[in-house]
Amino acid sequence: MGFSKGSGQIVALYSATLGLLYVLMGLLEIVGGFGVEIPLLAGVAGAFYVVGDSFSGFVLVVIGAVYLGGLGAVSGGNREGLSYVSVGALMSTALLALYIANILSNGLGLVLGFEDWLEWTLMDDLRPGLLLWVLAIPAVLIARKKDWRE
Amino acid sequence: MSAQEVLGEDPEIVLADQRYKFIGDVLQTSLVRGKKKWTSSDMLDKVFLDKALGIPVFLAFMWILFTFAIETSGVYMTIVEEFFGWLGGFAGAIGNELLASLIADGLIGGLGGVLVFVPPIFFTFLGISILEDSGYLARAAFVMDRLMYKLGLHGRSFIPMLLGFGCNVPGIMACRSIEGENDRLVTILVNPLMSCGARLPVYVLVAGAFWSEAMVGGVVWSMYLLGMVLAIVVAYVLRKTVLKGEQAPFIMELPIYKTPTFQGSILHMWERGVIFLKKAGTYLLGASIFVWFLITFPLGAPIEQSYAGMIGHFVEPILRPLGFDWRIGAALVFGLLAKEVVVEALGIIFAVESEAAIATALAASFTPVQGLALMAFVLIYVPCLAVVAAVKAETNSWKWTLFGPIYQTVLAGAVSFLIIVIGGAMGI
Repeated sequence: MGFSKGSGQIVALYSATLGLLYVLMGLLEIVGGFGVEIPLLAGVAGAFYVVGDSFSGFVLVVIGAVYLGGLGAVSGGNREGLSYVSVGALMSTALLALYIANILSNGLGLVLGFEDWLEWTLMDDLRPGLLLWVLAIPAVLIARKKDWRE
Repeated sequence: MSAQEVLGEDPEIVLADQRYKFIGDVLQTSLVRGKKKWTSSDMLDKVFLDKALGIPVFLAFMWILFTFAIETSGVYMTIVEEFFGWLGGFAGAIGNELLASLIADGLIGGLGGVLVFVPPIFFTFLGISILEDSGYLARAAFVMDRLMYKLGLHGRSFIPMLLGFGCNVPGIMACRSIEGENDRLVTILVNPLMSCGARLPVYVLVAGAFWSEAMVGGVVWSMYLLGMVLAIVVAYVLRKTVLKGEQAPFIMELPIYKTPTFQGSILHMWERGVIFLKKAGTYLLGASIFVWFLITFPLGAPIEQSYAGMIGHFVEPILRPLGFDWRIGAALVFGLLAKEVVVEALGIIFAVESEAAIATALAASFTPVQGLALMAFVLIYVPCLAVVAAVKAETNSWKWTLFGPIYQTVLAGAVSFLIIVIGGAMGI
């Protein structure tokens, strides 16, 4: 089935939600990096494991901007808008791959019994980019949906 | 009469025009078009070549690359370090004190201090290979061309500059593909500002000494970014002052996107990384013994009064405004041999062997903002001798060969001083 305006509006709603979440988490990481905490959003920051890394915050904002970039086109049923969801999914997955590589590497340090890794736990490496990827799975599926591009 | 004068415009443009006109004519007579399919390449290019998102997306990928290279390699660096620590244990059994010092401090300590950075260097090259093999790096060049053209740098300069991330020597040699003489000269002169693989050990060491593990990747990324920004700014200044002239147009065929293969990416990583290994086994080994000699002799003298100490004290007054002492001064002078030697030299000067021990010694002697200034200084100041020789060979001019190191040292001092002032005001 081809890409229609109806399906486009659902994708747009989803992209907007996901994009805003990425931007929000990115901004929390950026301000956290400067030592600023927003009490109102402290719960959200804690739930998504925001650590206050301004650099990764910038990357999250960029991914969010990519998701938001195609809203106009995709909501109008224009298949070109799917490009933004697809690239957003690609970037989300690249970030996931980075964090998984880190976890595997740190896990190896623990297994080998190196001093710096003796107290390492999985919780130490949880980041917003990991959790947000779970929410980005539909975006990955959209990116793989070839019949929508025709 | 040149081809350009006959044709009235750049022959390369005419050739490309004619080629695509021919392709168009053939297709028109032989191809029946169906409904155009929106391909994966179209989808990706829509965003990667986007005017507003193209550059931020490129910067995001670069951050992912450097964070992967640095954070993931921590465990593997420890494995290499443990191996050299184990090897160093044997030196203690040697009866002759001077020979034991040469083997433990000069060979194992010095060389081990550099080889410990093999994992992040190889991981960086792996990341670059994946981006290159996928076809994305060509898009990055295309996106950067818009910005670089406005700032006076030729779009084709981006490829030599990217090569500069591996080593500035092939980066400078690749400038031969740039046609305009002034465009070529500008690119040669700014290429050493691109962070080569040899600077990575210094960044990893210093960033690791002052910042948390989660921040190290970002701090290193910021040094790569600083180099790119400075290269663009310097190119702009040179094009507006001493190297004025018309810019040649940039024509580039974008390759199709491909899923990088495991074998291909590993092979490309190896091709680049093995250069570092060869350098470590020959040039860096010699440099390590040379540095050990300058630190050990005159025999029996305290390190501060050794030949290395004398060199360090000689340059110390120039570096004092930045808060660097003779130890950093000596290490920076040795860095002229190759940037990795800065790490070797620091290890020998601080009389410690492991990367963690050098980091601890640095953290005890300097502040985080001084660490940042030191990284910036290493990025910008006089490139290694091999790069200076490459500039001489490619420009065939002593004037430009000397101009590079002079402007870079002045710029290094100015940028590092600014970092100290601004960072100090921000309380870093």
